[in-house]
Amino acid sequence: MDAVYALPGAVALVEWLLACLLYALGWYRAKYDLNRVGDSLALAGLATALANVAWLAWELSPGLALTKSSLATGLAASAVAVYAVLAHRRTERLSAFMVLGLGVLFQAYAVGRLWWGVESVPPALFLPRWAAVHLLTGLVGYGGLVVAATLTILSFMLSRLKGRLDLNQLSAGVGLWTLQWRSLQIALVAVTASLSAGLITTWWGLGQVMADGLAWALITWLLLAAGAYGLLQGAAPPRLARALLVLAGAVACVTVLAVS
Amino acid sequence: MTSISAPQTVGWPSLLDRLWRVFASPRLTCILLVWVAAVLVLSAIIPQIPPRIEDPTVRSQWLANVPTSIRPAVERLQTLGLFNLLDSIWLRLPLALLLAHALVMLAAWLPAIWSRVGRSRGEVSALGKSFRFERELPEPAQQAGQPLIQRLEQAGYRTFLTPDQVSFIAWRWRLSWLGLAGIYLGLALVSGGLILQGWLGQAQEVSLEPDNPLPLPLAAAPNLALEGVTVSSDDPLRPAHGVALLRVGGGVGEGLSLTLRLHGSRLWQGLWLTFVDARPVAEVTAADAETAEQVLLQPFSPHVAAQERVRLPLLGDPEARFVGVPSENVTLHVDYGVAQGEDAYPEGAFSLSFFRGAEATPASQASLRSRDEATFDGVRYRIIFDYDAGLHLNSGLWWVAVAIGWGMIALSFLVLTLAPPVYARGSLLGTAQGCRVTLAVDVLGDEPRRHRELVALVRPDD
Repeated sequence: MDAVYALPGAVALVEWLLACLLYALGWYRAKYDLNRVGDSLALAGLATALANVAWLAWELSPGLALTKSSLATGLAASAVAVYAVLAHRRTERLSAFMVLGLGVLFQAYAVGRLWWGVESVPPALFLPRWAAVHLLTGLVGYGGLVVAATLTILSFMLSRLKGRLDLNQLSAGVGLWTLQWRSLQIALVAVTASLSAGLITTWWGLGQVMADGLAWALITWLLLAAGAYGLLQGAAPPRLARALLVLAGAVACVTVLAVS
Repeated sequence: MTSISAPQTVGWPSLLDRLWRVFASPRLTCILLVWVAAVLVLSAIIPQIPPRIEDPTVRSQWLANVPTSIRPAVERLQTLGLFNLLDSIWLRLPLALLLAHALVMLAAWLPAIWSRVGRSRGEVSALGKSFRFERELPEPAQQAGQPLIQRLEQAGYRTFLTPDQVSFIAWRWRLSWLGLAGIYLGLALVSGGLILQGWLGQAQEVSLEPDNPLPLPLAAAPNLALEGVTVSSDDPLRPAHGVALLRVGGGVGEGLSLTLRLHGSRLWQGLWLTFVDARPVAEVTAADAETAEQVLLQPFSPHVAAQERVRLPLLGDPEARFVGVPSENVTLHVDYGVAQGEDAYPEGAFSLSFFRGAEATPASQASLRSRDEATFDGVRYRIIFDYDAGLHLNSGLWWVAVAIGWGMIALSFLVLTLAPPVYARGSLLGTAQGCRVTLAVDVLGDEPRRHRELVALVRPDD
C-alpha cells in the first residue's frame, strides 16, 4: 500500500510520544499542570489514529477490510480509550504513561508497516456480521487486557522501587488495583463476547476468515479466564493470577499483531 | 483460596479422600485451564499433521513446514503425539481431568450455593474470598442494629436482622452465586462434549468438486456429491454470496438434494455441514482438433495419474496452475484476470500460456473467456470457470453439549464480573463502651473495595 497512508498514523505517533514525554515529566518533577496538556495530546492522537483506520477502511471499501496496521492501531487506540474511560478522574498520569507507551509501540509498528510498504491489502474481508462483532469486541477486550496487564506491571515496579522513589512518586500506585480490576472486567466481558461471536462464526460458517486467529483468541481467553478466576474467587495466589494476566495480555498482542 | 473437603475418615485419610481434596480445589481449575492453553499454543506453533497424511503429496507439504533441525526425529516425536496434539492424550487428559474436577466441584459446592441463594441463616461454607473484621460502636447492641441495617440497605444490600437484634445477614446479588455453579457445569459440558465429540481434532475440512463424491461415515448416506455452485458477486474470485447444490446418498441420481447457502450450515442425520468457501477453479479439458479424441492432462502433483479433466485453483500458489500434456510434450499455464498493461487481456478472462518441452518462455499465449476454446499444436483446449465447494463436516451431536457449556461459562463469567455477589454475616456483642460489631464476609471479585465499603458502612466516622 502507498506510504501516504502512514502520514496520519505518524502524526498520531508524534502526538502520543509528546504526551508520554509530558506525563513522564509531570510525574518525575511533580508538575501536574503538564498532565492536562498531555491529556489533550493523547486524545488528539487517539482521534488521529482512529481517523487513519477509518481512512484505510474507506479506501478498502466496500469490503470494510482492516489491514494488520489498522489492527495494531486499533489495539493501541482501544487500550488508550479503555484507560481514558476508567481513569479520567485520576490525577496521576504515570499509569497513563505506561499505557500510552505501549500504544506508541503498537502505533510505531503500524506506521512502520505502512511506511516501508510491507502492508498489503488483506485478502480477508470482515463483512459477515458475526465476524465484525468478533473483531470489534475483541479489540475492546484486548485493549482492556493490555491496560490490566500494564497496570499489573506498573504495580509490581512501584512495589520494587519503594526505597528509591519519594512519596509523591509512589502515590501513583494509589487505587491502581481498582483500575486493574475494572479493566479486567471489561476485558473478560468483551473477550468472552468476542470469542463467542468467533465460535459462532466458525460453527455457522459465517466467514472462515477468522479461523486462523481463533486458536490464539481461545488461548488468550483461557489464560485470561484462569487469571481472572484466580483473582475473582481467590483460586490462585494473587501473584500467580496476575502473572497469568500479563501472559494473557502478551498473547493478546500476538493475536492481534501477528496472527489476525 | 477456599476448598471444601469430603468427610474425614478415621486415621489417615483414604486415597479417595485425598483425591477428593485435590479435585475439590479451585486452584485445579486454573491449572487445567493453563494446561489446555499450553497444548493449544504448542499446536499452533508445531506444524500439525493435516488430514490425509497417507497421501505422499500431503506428507511432503507438511514435512516442508517442519523445521529442518527436528526432521530426523519426526517419527519419534510423532509417536508422542506432538504432531497431532488436538487429538492426543496431551489434550484429552486435561479435558478428562477438567470433567472430573468440574463434577467434584459441583458436588462440593452446590449445597453451599443453594443455601446462599436461598438466604440460609445458618453457617454456610465460604465460596469466594473471605475476610472478617471487628469494629467498636458507642451505642448498645440493641440500638446499633437498626441504624447499621439502614446504612447497609441504603448502600444496596438486602438484609435480615434477627428478632433479638444481635445478629444479621446482608447480601448483594445473591443469585450471582449461581454463576459459580454455571462455570463448573459449563466446564463439565465443554470438556465432556469435546472428549466425546473429538471436535477439535476430527472436524473435517474438504474441498468438494463435481463428479468426485466424498465417502461419508453414515450408513444411510455413504457419500456426498457436489452438483454445482452458483454465486452472485462483483468479485468472482472471492464471492460473498452463493449456493451449493449437494446430493447426499448412494449413487448418481440417487439420494437427497441439499441446498447450502455460502457461509450457511445444515444439520443432516447428525452430520453438521457448513459451506465455508466457494473456491474458484479453472476446469481444463483437451481434445484432438481433428479426431475430437480426448487428450490426457497431467496435473503437477506427484502420484496423480493423467486425467481427461483437471481443475486448477485460481487462488493461491500460481505453481498449482500448471498442467502437462504428456502426449504433446507441452505444458500449459492458466491465469485469470490478473494481467495489466497495454497487451492485457480483459479483466475476467483467462490467459493460457503454452510451453514446449522444457522451454521457460511460452511458445504461444491465448486470452479467452470461460467456455471458449484455444488450439495449440493440433490440440483444442477448453476452459471453464467453475467453483469447488469448501465444506466443513462435523459428525455427532456432542457439539451441542459443547455449545451449551460454552454459553453457560460465558454467561456465568458475565454475571460474576458485572454483578459480583457479596454475603456477610454480622453479630453485635455488648461491651462496656457500647458494642462490638463482627462481620464475616464472603465476596467474589474486588475484595479490597468491598472491605473498605463495609468498614465505612459499619462505622461511617472511620
